[in-house]
Amino acid sequence: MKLNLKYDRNLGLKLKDKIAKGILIAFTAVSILVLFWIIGYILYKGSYSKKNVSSNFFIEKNTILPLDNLSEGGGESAPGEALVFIVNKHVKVDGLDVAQLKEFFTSARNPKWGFITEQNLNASVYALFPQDNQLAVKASSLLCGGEAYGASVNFEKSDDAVINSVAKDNGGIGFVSASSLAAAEKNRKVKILEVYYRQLVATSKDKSPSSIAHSEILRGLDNLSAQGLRLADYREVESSNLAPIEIQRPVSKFLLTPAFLFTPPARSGQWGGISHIIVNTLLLVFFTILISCPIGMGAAIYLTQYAKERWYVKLIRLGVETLAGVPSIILGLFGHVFFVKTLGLGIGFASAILSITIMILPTIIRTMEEALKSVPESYKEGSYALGSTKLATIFKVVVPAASTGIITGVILAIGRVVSETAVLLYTLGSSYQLVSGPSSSARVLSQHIYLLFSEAISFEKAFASAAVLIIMILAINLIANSLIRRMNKMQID
Amino acid sequence: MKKILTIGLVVLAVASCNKSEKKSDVISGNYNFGGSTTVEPIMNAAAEELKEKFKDINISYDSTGSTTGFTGVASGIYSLGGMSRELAVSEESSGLKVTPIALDGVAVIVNKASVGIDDLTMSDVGKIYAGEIKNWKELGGVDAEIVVYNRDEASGTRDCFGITVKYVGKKFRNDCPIVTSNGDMVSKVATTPNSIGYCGFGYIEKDQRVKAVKIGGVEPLEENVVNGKYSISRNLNIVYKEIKEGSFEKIFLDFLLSDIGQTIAREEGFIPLKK
Amino acid sequence: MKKSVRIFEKTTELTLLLCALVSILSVIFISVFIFKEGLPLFQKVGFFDFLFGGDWSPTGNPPSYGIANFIIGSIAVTFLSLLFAMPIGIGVGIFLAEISGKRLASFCRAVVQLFAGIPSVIYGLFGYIAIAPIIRRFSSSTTGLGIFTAAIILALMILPTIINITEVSLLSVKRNLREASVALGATDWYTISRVVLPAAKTGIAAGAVLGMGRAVGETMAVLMVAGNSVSRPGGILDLTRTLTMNIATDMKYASGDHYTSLFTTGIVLFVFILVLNLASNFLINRSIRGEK
Repeated sequence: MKLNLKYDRNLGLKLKDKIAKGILIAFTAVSILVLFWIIGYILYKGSYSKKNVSSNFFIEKNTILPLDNLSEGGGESAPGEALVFIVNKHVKVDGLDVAQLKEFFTSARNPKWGFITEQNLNASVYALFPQDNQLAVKASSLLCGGEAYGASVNFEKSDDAVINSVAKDNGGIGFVSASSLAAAEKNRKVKILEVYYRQLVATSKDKSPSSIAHSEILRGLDNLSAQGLRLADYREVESSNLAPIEIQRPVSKFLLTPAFLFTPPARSGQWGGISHIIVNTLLLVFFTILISCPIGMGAAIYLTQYAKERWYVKLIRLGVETLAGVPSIILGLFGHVFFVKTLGLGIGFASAILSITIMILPTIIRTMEEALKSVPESYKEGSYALGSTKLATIFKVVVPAASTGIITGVILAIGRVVSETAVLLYTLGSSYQLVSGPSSSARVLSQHIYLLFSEAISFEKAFASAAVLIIMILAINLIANSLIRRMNKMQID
Repeated sequence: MKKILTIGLVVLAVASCNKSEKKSDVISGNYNFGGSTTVEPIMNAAAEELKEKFKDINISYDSTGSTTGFTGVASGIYSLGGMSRELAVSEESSGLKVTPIALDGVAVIVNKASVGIDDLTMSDVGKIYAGEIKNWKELGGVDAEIVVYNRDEASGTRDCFGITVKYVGKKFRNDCPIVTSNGDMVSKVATTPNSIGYCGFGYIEKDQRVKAVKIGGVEPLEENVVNGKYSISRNLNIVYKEIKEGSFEKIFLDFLLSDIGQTIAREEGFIPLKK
Repeated sequence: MKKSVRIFEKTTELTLLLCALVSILSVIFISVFIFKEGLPLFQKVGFFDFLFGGDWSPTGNPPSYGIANFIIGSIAVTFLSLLFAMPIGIGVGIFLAEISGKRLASFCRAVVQLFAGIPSVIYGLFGYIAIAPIIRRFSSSTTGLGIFTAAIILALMILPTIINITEVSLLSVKRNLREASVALGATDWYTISRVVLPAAKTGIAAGAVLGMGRAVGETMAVLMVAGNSVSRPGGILDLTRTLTMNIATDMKYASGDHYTSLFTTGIVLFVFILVLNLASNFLINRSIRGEK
């Protein structure tokens, strides 16, 4: 690192000098590193997650579910007496275990994909009509234990009809006989599900672990039997009342997917994405800026162009300074008691906008004042010399000349609005629906992060939302910086 | 750039306004519900389910707490309020009506990996929360300090827990960390070794690093709440002013009490009123 | 014609004045409403009992409202965070103003600005997920949360304020002072530490007070990492609840006197902040006057 020493070099640097500077450099380096750590950490955690998931079934790449009664030595059945499960490509699932499949086919109401894929998607279940053939009868006895299918199951006459229906329906799931596997593979809107039907059981009752890692099983059967474990078909487990052992396996996935950004949240944010939240955030920013900018601008123009050092001008400045220092939770309290209760606006969008407007006014006034002050006097004098009025001079000469600075101020204000939470807690509410009017309760990104975190709804989603917020803040900062640089250049010119 | 942004925002704004102004001949409009955080999952799930039938309605549920649920309904901010406790004596004179929609058991949970104990008596729990038992050793566990998590002062869960676990004449110790939601409680107990806390049944399964302990040998199970063996439980209520036949509020309430509504309650981890 | 122009000019000026008055009016409204909502409790509970009472059980029977523990919590967290942030903030400020080259300085300034721009929920999330486990690992703390963790996070949050003000006040120290020092044969560091820093000390103090104001008023980040226990903290690893946390936590549920008590807490916080603001204003003015 090259040090730019401003003073006489001839004196030479003493050791103490070097140490002191070293410490300062270290401080700076540490600060910068910490910032990158924070940003990097949030972006990493927000885009990628890896966690242990436990299941009662062994996850394997098997697409055929055998139906026949169990023969000696495991579930080897000829195709045609087995089932293939298909889902629509929209559903983000690779495979389901037998217990989950049964749930789909016996549920009393429209089953939801959310419990498995976190998608806000209704499942439409298609089955072969049980009277039609032997296979369908067997299937029904497997999937719903001989009783009737769930109320929401749709029946089709043939494999092709099932495939077509599943292909048409975004949340479709259904089964066909294994002989139609090729036909199902051909359909581009359908994918074949993996079915998990083998479970891990202990060979002796004495020593059975409560859970085991998936990788242990993958190491091979010898390894398993050495541990007193074996894989058993679900039918055997059911019929002989064995207790399956939990299998733990790491599951990693990307969180910042387009689906996350563009689907609305559901079930308190557990399912779906954050599209509504992002739109709400943008709307809040837009309307807040719409209200606060003219006011802030007016105040800044007054303070720089009109105000003389009178007592009330001093008071105004004191007001701006004080307001800048008021903590946001106090503004939240005020917003709650004044806008929500006294003015009767209720918890909702209007109250939130007004409260947050008060919060960012000082920022806007200050930055705009700076921008207006930086316009050289000569511009104004030139304008006056041409016979313009004061008003014309201000709006036609001074303001345009300060425009870059003004826009920078607006952008910095946007940054503050986007990152604020405390003011909104008791003025905006917490509904995650799209804002539908001034009195509608809503939530914005920063609040969504807090709620996901504090209600422990989903840390993954909290981090993913935080990553989105960080990206927004980075973008806002980049824009502001490039504007400031442009402004500085203009001043030098 | 800025222009594009502005135009985009305006379009968004207009689009979202339009959406709400569409009229339907059946039932439409905005419905604001709010109240207990515990009831929130049921209300949100039910709202989402009903929205499939009534496309033009907008339902929002603010999870602001039981008391706010009550005051919100009383002052007309909410048309239905969620409460995870019964009306207080001072609230009974208001004339608001209360309908239970599900049961909730409060389970005592501990950190699974570090706490070996899985059965506690009611008075043990009381003593732990009063600060008289401070080490797992005293209960036959490992020699480690008990980390006690408590809920905030006016949460319905704490209310229910406090009434049933009240250790005669003693107050809760006040030097323990306070968490403000069931979910938070579970994640804190899950990540803190030697910790104890309590939460609604529905939250036990949210994290596999916690386990629910038996109370006096009774397992925290649905049937034990229904048959009265497990005593730390409460009603989840909906509070409302007069609601008219045919109004959306009535439809919503009926839906909550229907089979599907009760299934939702079960899915969210609560105990249905009827089998 | 001319008259109408003048009327137009006058009304515009008035409108602009009105805009300028919005902020002072807001301050007045905020004060009036917070005080109006919160003061009744002082009559009920008593001023001193409220401020110095150590028991907070607003839903107890009988209820008791004492916020002494929260005041202690706020002060502890704030001072500890200042302790962390001051040396580093001043150090970075000196580096930016006196040592670093122009390009490096502008890069660092962008970084500092980014620091200030990170939302407090994200600081809180980071504190809970990244810092707390580290604290838990290397200390006797069972939760990893508490005063210490909160102070670290707050220190990060007030760092930009301190850096900025330090830099500005160092840069405003007259050039002839430095030149005189260097001419006398002083080294760089001697000049900085004995001449420039003392000359800028009022400005730096103003920065510290401003940072203090931010720390006292911060809500979300502290709420997520301070542990939220209502008891009196006995050490820096203990859990605590600050004034802001008290408002944010209980507001959700409070009704009646409990609700009022949160506004009363708000009054205490507000007065605290006002005093700090006035102090920093005073210091800034003095440092400006000092230059003249």
